[in-house]
Amino acid sequence: VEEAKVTHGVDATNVRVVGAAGATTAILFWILGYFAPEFMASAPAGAEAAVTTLIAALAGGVLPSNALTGRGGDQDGFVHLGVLAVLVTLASLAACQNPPRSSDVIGMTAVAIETTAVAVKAACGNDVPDGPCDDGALLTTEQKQIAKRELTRAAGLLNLAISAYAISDDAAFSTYLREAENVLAALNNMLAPLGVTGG
Amino acid sequence: VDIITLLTTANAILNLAAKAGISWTEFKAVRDKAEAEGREPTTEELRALAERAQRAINDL
Repeated sequence: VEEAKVTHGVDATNVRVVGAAGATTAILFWILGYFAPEFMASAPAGAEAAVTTLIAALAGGVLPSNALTGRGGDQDGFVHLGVLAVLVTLASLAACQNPPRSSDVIGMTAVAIETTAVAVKAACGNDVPDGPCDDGALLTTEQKQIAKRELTRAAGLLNLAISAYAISDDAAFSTYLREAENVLAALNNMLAPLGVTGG
Repeated sequence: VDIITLLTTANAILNLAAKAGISWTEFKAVRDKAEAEGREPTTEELRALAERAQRAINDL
């Protein structure tokens, strides 16, 4: 019976990882197809299947063993992959569009901030704002508060970038956006090893 | 693979769409509307996206 349970667990985990990778790939390709249709038109046949496999392998490598099956429930693992998809997409957009539209970069940064906040909340499990994280959560309360502070900082920089965009101050816009991206990247470097976001 | 596993997987994917996809949908709607009207998204529309992100932060 124990052997059967172990075998079933491995199968279920694999199904979830591949399912999550498939969902992540679908979202990624949808976004890339939307923003970079010419680039996606040049993708070779089978690219989606190849990326699904790659993301499944990455998920196995960068997510903690309990990310898809452990505490916090299966859904948290999918949020981790969603964050991974957002970060990969931001990097892909930076590579694909030359230069990207300013309004798109603002929108993508807002989405990245919101998605990271959702992932942090799922990893903490606090019931009220500034409340304590659950016992055994992926994040301690102190780590969650650090994440909140850094996300607030990124959001502040994003608002400054929007103000610069409004008056067509390209230099200030670029500076604030770059700072916001640096804050998000540093935060991801803190959260990824904890299993909160993809690496 | 049993039906429960498949349903669990499907449920989790839907939850991903619900959690990570809402802000995408909002952003896409803003972009689509601006494009249909032949303009860039307005500052107010972009501020609304930033405010959504801020509300998610406030929950932490």
